[in-house]
Amino acid sequence: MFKFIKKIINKIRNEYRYRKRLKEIKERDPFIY
Amino acid sequence: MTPSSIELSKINLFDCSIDKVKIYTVVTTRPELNIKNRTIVEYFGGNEKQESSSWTHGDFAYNISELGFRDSDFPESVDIAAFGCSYTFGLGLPENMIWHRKLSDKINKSIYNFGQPGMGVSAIIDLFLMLDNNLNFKKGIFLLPPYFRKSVACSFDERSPQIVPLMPNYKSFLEILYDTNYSEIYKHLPDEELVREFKDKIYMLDFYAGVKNIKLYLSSWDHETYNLLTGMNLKNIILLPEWTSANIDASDLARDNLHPGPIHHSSFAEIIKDLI
Repeated sequence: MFKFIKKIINKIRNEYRYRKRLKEIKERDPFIY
Repeated sequence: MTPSSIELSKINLFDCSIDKVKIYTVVTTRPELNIKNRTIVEYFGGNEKQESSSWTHGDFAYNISELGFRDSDFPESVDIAAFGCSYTFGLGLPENMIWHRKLSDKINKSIYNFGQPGMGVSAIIDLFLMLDNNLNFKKGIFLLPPYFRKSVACSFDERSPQIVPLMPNYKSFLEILYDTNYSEIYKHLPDEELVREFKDKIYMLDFYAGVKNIKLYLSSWDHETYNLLTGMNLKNIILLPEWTSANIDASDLARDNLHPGPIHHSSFAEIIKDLI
């Protein structure tokens, strides 16, 4: 049970980190070609 | 492997003919532009036409060479070669307002524009290596995009390889053809990997400049990328001042209302002119 909750928390934390990173990249490189 | 993968495997960046350059010039990968010979393109960027109503500097078009460069036909020799992304290509600006042209006027040297919109650092350096083998130039100036911008080799028909940019805000042909979610690529690639790729490529360029005894100058319009460059131990490359928007009116924009305008380009040329 504990392992399962830890896995879910990790997944949410990673998803948050990924989304933050993507947002930053999109803001710094707003260009199209 | 596909036939295009096999064709790509035969290309040696340090020793290849000029006709292979087209594989690396991203301008020629836009099927709707259909660049087979010299072509006049009225509007280039995705929303440039819609945004052009606020452009006050007079009408212009993009005169693209057969190889995909916004300049004359391929020269035999040139004093300085300019490399970079859409900033150097001059997306949203007429040719006489781009930084390399301003610099050329100031220092009275010929400068050829090898800028390619959407290109990442790695692809820009690959293009430089291919061109250095086919053209005599004494100096090269690079204005680099953010270190994280990637380009990907792919094929539209499994016969002809192409290098296609992966723009964080642009749905490329890679996504349409391969059903690739480019956002996921950027989301999941660790920053450390992107930095590793960037610094390895820059150090390789530095080594190459030493071996070939060619003078190379680097700058970037992305602050973090420039910071990375300042922290590197470059032995043969000269670091130019950073491209900056400081003290320039925020309304100075190109025709696409996205790229910096002519004052930015003049300012950069003025800053670097005594260092070249």
